[in-house]
Amino acid sequence: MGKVIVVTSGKGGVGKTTATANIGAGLASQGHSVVLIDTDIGLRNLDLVLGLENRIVFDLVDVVEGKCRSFRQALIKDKRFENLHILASAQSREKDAVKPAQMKKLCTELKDAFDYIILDCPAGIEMGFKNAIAGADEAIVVTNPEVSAVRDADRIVGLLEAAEIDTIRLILNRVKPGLIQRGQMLSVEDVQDILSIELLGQVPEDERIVHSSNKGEPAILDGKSRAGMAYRNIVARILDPAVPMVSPQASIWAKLRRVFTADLGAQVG
Amino acid sequence: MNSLLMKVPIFYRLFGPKEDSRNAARERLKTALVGDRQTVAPQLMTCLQKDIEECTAKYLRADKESAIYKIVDKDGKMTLKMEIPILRINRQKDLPEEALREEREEESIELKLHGTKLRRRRKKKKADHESQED
Ligand SMILES: Nc1ncnc2c1ncn2[C@@H]1O[C@H](COP(=O)(O)OP(=O)(O)OP(=O)(O)O)[C@@H](O)[C@H]1O
Ligand SMILES: [Mg+2]
Repeated sequence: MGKVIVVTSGKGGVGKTTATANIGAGLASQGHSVVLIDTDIGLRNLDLVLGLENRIVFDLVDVVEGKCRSFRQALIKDKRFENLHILASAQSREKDAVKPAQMKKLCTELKDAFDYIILDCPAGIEMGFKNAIAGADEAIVVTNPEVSAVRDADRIVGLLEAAEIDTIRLILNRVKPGLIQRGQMLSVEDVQDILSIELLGQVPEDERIVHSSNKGEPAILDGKSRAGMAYRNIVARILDPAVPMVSPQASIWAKLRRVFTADLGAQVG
Repeated sequence: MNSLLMKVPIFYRLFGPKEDSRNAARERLKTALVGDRQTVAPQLMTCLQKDIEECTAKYLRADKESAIYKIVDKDGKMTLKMEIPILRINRQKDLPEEALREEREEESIELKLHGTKLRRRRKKKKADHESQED
């Protein structure tokens, strides 16, 4: 029996879709059968990040409305990872085109056929969020080391707990170790202390993420990407919680660059 | 000369003033979350007050009407502030056993909890219910 994991955040743009794509690709590459569902109705994205945008025939709404024979007909198989499938979101529908009960039913059906069902949740705490968590067994909360993102994450954790989702783990994304060292960014310890939930992993700020999205290839495939490396660690920790967490270190170039390119505007002469 | 040197990024980085916003972020967030979690649980203060009344009743008779329970900002730290006027301390026979071991003369009790971490509702409730039914 499979496991349903929702990837959520409250605040938009913190990296849910990127996390979903990378974790999904990582789990599939380890031989697990995976379905990723984009639950952001009206704002389809996951297909693009994974480079599968040209292959969509049926979407999530078609499946819950019974427009296709079974969910199998709507799943897009990723050619790079034979165990990876995605169910795209509907682009032209309203947010309430899907009901929590329907999501729950779909998740139950998918659990019989796959090892991991990972739901990419829309930002916010409205209908889309309620749909995405309806059938979830576990949650991954993505946040950035930034006050508003952390505050929203706290709200989300409260709502997940109220929905009786007991396993809630944190991914801190876009960490800049150099800034933390200089006391200009919340550290992973700060965030964990404030949210008091288990930490699954930390992902450094990495320009190569954009490069990966541009090409439609998850960063986890990119040997040069430090974010990709972090996601490999996260996947290993999902599969075996005993695997130690890797903390991002400031790259030597980032350190040097900072020393030589001070923000002149901030200087007092 | 000194200020001239400071125009060179590397010197500024190494010897210039350190700007610290991390601590500010941490404290401001904690404060905001105390407010947020209270808003999400509108009965939080009422329940807390009820529990404290039950607890203090073991030791003393409080003037419940004039008691004050508040979460206040004290030097940037969220603080639970309580002021409970005492009508009288319980007689010996109405005090818990342990309280009698050591004599104390306290006219007023000031409780200060520096609680920046509010505990969230955990799923334990279910288990509690079951054990209560037994
Ligand atoms: N570790 C990272 N380093 C640099 N850029 C990142 C990182 N993670 C995500 N990004 C970038 O941040 C942007 C938002 O990411 P993403 O789309 O995954 O967020 P989201 O939470 O799904 O957003 P939304 O709430 O709109 O669905 C993207 O442009 C992505 O490339
Ligand atoms: Mg997204």
